[in-house]
Amino acid sequence: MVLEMQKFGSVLGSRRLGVIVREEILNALAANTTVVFDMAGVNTVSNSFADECFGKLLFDVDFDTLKKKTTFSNSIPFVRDTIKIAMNQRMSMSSAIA
Amino acid sequence: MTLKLQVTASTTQSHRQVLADLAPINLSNAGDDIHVTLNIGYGRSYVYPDQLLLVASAIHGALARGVTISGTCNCTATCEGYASRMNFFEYINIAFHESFIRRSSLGKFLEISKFPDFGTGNELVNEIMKIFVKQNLTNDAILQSLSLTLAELVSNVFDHSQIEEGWLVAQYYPKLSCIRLMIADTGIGIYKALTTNPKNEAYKQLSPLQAVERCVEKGVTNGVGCGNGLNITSNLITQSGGILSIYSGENYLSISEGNRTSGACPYWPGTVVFLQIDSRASVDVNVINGGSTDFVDQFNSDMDDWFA
Repeated sequence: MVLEMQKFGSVLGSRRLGVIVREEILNALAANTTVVFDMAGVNTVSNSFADECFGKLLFDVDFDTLKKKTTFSNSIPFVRDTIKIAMNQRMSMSSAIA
Repeated sequence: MTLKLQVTASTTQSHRQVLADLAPINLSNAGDDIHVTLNIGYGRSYVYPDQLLLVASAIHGALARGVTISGTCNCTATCEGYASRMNFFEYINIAFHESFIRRSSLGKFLEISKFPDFGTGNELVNEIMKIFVKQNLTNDAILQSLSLTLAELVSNVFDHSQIEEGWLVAQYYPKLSCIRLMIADTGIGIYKALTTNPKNEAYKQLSPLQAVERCVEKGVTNGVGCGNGLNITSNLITQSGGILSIYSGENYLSISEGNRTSGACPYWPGTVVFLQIDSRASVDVNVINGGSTDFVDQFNSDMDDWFA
């Protein structure tokens, strides 16, 4: 399944939107579908959105499984780096709790 | 309560002076009757778009609460066309006959804009970036940092203010290499947002001033988010040497050219964030975003294969 992220906007910037998109991702993963996050047309991803949408996937799926079942395409470096930072922060928070 | 007051907004005034004039409006309740004399611009001075936003959102909020507001608006000749193009009169419910041809504002500024949901807020952020690019702002790092910052601030309105409405205005002054932006809401404010049922019990002990002072620190959050939004904003200002002013409740925090001040200010319900940035500033987006060169190097090996 290809999830065209631009349908949510060229600026993906709110936690509430992150909740909506994460729900869509989890439904696809539950149906055993691999997901490609097509970031074409997305100029900005906020740290909050990235954490809510991608970071919190780690509550349901471990990172190795997430990498096997999902991937990104067409992401500009700025967007990619923001997602990486958010993922790292979420993983650090999870490690601290553990 | 019936009262008469004057509100003055001009480039000769600070935000705090405008807030002082607006405080009786912000403190008013349904059934109150307020007669306002608005003075927009003064003498040969102009008015800033952020000052107009403060006045418009305060009056609009009072009208929505059921306050009766009447009065007069005295606008200097140099300001009235500008204020009208900014949609100022529309929000304060004053009929204003435009005796000029209104051209599209696209590419000039983002007029005072009320956004009722995060989708609209994010679209406005995108529009602001297009406006700046159209005005030949070519500093990609500043553009990316600004879009990141504004997206976080829009998110904050809906995550924390408990009011489903925010306000935004932006203008780039190319000859001055100066960007002025303001985002505001009339919600519960930083103190209540941070100290009501926080995940970190220690935050319950914060005073209203401490809450405003600490809101820009990394990780300071009530648990809804990660505490990044205002930290990212403050990082941008620190790196660019610009100005960040936050007004919430009866307290403010200001970071200006590396100097930090805080204290009491006239009342504002909710939160106002003002940014002034030099468009030529050299900034590192990753550092602003909470990353670092070390982190990116270390993390690359784990994540690069996730990004095709």
